[in-house]
Amino acid sequence: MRLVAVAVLLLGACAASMHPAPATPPSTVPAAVRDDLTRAEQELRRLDADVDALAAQAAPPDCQRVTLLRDNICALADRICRLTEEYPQETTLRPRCTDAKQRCARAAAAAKQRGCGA
Amino acid sequence: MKRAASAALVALLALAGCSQRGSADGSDWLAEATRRHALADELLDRGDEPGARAQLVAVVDGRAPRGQLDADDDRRRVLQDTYYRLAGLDLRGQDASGALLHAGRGLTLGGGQDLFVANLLVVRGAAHEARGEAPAAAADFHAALLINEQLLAASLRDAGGAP
Repeated sequence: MRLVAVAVLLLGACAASMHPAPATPPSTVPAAVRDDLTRAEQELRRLDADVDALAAQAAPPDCQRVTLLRDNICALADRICRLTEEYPQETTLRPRCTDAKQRCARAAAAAKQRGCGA
Repeated sequence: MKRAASAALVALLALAGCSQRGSADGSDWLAEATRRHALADELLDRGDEPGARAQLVAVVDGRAPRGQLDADDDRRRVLQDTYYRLAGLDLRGQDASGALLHAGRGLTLGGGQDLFVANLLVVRGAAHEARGEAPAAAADFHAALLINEQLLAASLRDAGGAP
C-alpha cells in the first residue's frame, strides 16, 4: 500500500509540474504525456493488485490458540512468582520469577500486536 | 494451566486422523482409549473417582501399538495425556508421590515441545510444590512456560509474522 501511495504522490507531483493549472482541457495534453499517464495508471493498478494479493497471503493468527498460550505463560509466571514469595529463602527462585514475568509481558504484547485479546 | 481444548480430545482426534494409516491394532487401541477416556469423564462427573482412575489405568496398561512413526507419536500423546490425568487425580487425592510417579512415567515417553509434555511438567511441578520442593516446582513450571512460549512464537510465525 505504501508503494501505491508513493506512486500516487510521484504521479501527482509530476502532473503538477507539467500542468501548473488545469486550465486546458484533457484533449490538449500532449500525446507523449498522456501515454505516460496511462502507463502510470496501469502500473498503479498492477501495484494495487500486488498489495491485495500479499495481504490475502498473510493469514490471520489463530487467536483462540494464541490467547490460550499467552494465558498459560502468564499463569505459570504467576505460579513461579508465588513460590518466590512463599519461599523467600530460596535464592534460585527470584531470577526465575523475573524472567517469567518478562516472558509473560512479551507474550501479552505479541498477542496484542497481532490483534489477539486485550 | 488450561488444557488447550482438552488435550485428550486433541490427541484422540489426531489419532483418529492417522488411524487409517496405522495398523488395525492401532485403530482398535485408539477406539478403546477413546471409549475409556469418555467413560472416565462420565464417571468423574458422577463423582466416581476410583472408577475413572480404573478406566485411565486400563489405557496405560493396555497393549499400545508400536512400529509406525505416526502411530508411535499419537500413541505417545494419548499415553502422556492419560498419565497427566492420572497425576491430576493423584493430586486431588493429596497423593503427591503418586502424581510424581505418573508424571514421570509420562515424561519418560519423550516427545517434543508440545502441550502434552508441558501439561506433564505442570502437574509434576504441582506435585513438587505440594511436597514443599519449591526449586524443583519452579523449574518444572518454567520449563512448561518455555514450551508454551515456543508454541506461541510458532503460532504467530505460521500466521505470517514473527511476534
